[in-house]
Amino acid sequence: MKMYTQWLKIGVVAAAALGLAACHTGYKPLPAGQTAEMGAEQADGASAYGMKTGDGYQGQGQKDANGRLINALVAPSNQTYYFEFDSDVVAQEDMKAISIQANYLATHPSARIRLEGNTDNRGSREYNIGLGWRRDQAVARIFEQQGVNAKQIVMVSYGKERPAAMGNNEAAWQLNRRVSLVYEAK
Amino acid sequence: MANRFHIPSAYRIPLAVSVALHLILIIFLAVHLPKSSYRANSIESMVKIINAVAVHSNQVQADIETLKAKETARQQAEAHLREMALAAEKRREQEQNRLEALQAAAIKKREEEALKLKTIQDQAKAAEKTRVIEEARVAALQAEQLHLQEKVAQATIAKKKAEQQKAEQQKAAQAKRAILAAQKLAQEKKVNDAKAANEAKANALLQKQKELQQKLLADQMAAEEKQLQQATQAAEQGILDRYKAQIIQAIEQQWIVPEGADQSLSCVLLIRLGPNGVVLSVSLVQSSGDVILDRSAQAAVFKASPLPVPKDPNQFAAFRELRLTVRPLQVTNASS
Amino acid sequence: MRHRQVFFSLMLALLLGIMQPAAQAALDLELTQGINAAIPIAMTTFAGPQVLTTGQQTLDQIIKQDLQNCGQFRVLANDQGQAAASIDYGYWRKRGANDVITGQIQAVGRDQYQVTFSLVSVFNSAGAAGAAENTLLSQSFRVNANQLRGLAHHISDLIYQTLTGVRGVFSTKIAYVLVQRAPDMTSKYTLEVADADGYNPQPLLVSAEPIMSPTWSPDGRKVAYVSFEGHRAAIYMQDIATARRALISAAPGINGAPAFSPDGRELALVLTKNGNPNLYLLDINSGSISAVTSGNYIDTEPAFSPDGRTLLFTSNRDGTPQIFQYSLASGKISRVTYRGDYNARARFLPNQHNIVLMHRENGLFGIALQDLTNGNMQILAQSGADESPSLAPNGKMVIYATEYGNRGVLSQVSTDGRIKLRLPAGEGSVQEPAWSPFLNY
Repeated sequence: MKMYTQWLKIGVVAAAALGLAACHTGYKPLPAGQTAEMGAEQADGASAYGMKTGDGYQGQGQKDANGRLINALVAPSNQTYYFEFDSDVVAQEDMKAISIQANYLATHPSARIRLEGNTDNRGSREYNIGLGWRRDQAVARIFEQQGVNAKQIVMVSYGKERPAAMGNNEAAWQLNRRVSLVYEAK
Repeated sequence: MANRFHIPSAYRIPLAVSVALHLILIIFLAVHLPKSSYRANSIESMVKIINAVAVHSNQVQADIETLKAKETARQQAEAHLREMALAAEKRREQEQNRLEALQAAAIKKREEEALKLKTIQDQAKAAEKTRVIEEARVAALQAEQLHLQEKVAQATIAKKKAEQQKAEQQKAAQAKRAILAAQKLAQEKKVNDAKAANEAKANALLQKQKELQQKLLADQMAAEEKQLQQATQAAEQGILDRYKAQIIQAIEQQWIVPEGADQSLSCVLLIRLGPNGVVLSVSLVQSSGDVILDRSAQAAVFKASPLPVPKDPNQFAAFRELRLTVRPLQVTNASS
Repeated sequence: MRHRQVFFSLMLALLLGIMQPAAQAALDLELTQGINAAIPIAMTTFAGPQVLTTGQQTLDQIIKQDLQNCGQFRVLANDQGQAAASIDYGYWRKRGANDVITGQIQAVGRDQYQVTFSLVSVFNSAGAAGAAENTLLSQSFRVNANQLRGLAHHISDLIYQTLTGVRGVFSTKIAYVLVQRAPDMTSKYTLEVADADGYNPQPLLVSAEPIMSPTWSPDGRKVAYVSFEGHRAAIYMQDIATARRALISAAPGINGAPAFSPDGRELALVLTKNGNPNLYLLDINSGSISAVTSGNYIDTEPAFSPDGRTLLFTSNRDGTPQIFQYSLASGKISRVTYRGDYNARARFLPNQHNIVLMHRENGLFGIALQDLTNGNMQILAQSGADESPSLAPNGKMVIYATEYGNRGVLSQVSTDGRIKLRLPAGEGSVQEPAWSPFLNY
């Protein structure tokens, strides 16, 4: 009995000593924010949205002649609404797609969407955050008018930080002036 | 009933030792030793090494590669910068040649000016010569006038004598003739008086004419002398001003005005020049209060050496010492 | 009688002797015009072993690069490894240099170096006292091998300040965002801090979501920025030395454009508390927030004046984005820019009566300098894609982002418009540079 407890104590002290040694090797533990961020991103990308062809294209695969993503007329499905230059007016042809999603959200109170406002690459970055925000507001207003609870809508503006297409021409600009609708909870 | 916490005596000491060891370990684990400072004692400020935070092992590899790529890019940029420096050097040399050509042109101009001065001096000499000729002419006229005067005087005296003798001869014969003679005498006396008066008038007029002529000549001579004097003075003053302007221009081209120099400031330099314009010394007589401004002015004077000065030792004497007041009022962009 | 004659003639001679110099007085001249040019200085290779620091450069190569790139100097090089005692003044005068920098480096101890340098004037300028003063600066340092690069920049600072009267920025840092985009448009964003010359980049944050608007605290120890981790905008404040960070603002909606007050106690930022992007002030210690602007506008990009009394900001309250000024004491807002149809991201110069900003004219985005006293605007750069100007703490240089070869690069232009420089680019796209304050640590 005495022998066993002796070895136990030695073992505990040894383990503690090893732990102490680890603090002095110079290895620095990562700050909490960073690891969580990377982990979350991988989880999102891998499981939730199926075919992943890059951020902002989550779930939408088909494009029209101009390169614009086509909105599926089923719910729940991610959507992309495009805007004219310097405008936050939602296009008339998007209204049908919007009402389908609005209907789903209104009948599924635990569903939640994220609206991501984007602009083309002209102008200052922070001012474009404001412009993207205006586009989010325009889309959110329509959803709320159609009975969706504001708590189901999260708005974030990326301004010009996440372009869908590169280039200093109208072909690229018109693909970047958009609001992406992404389901965070279905 | 025994106390639950009663420890058998055999275990007390080992237990105490064990607890103490555990406490020490816990304290060690809880307290961090302070990190050593990277600060060096001998310099005031330096780069602090930033503790990089790597997230992914893959990332580290990628970062190493990006760093390597950045290195090559930087080296290329450096080479480019070196080329640009060489090109700038070339341009500067070309600029120096241009300045030398300008200086040669300036020297030529100076020589032309000296030539002009010489012609003015020659003209003065010619004026002198004509004056001398005029003087001789006037003297000749004078002599002639005297000669004429003598002759006229002699003629009247002779005439008078003849008349008197005739009158004395005829006096005895006839009283009428005497009266007539006396009348005639009177008349003739009148005529003679008139003649004499006329002669005197003529002489006076001639005299006046002569005097006028002399005055005219004298005036002409005086005017020409004055012109000559003024021309010489102007030439000398012009030379002085021109050299002063050239000196200022030479220093201007070298004066790099410090950025943001206060326009209300000024400094005064005392410059000593040797023959050929070599700058011997530049002393700060009065500081502007801005050390950088003072030094920029001093450097400009040294760099403009040798300054353009007259070759003639008498004229150079005025340029031995210059008192230069410097004010940063205007800045032009360097042509290079 | 004879003695008196001698006495009087002596007195006369003395009088004449005294009067004589007055006859030849100094000629008076006035100089009122000069040129605007780089000061020519000479740099000699430091004597001693050719020690290479990080970046494969010797100490004197770094100093030469610093002085050449700031635009104030034209550096003439020579390969003679001369010590200060044997400077060939005649040679340097002939080459047109005003001053000469010499130095030497010596290995001492274990991995340590003794570095000495001198800044010497080429002319024998006599001061008022008459004594010749050639050596303007001469110092000696003892440093570790890994401190050599920092020492080179410190020496550049000393030389710069002695020759221009202005504090040098060679020991300052720049923060910026590096974006690496894959062909499928997924991106990696890195917030980096590097030396002012672009060397020694150190990552502060790596993320798969955008990072924006890095800004330095006045003491240079912290950087605040906007991060979109987790698909939400939030403002963090990160300590450079420890890499530890604190979450400063994560309100719903926009958390953007952070700017420190000059005393470091407050942060001006953009929030959408009332639905619109407006300006707010956050007390960093207590976390309390007060509103600065309101209304259905886009108000953004606040920047404090050096005296902390006013805020510049961008707003479209008059139609298109223009610069406005808010007085913290009176709450009064006045418009600042009237030229051009787009003015944004204004920052004060240290002298507080000039601002540098992003400006569009004829459809081209560029960087402009505006004089607040008379409204005059001067275009410093106009490539069509210039943005995010940030000032060096001595107010002499602007670093900004622009495009070159289809990606983002950083460029510098001096505030007098005289010199323009593009920083060497690595991989990826660089944007949003932020110049640190003077670092006193």
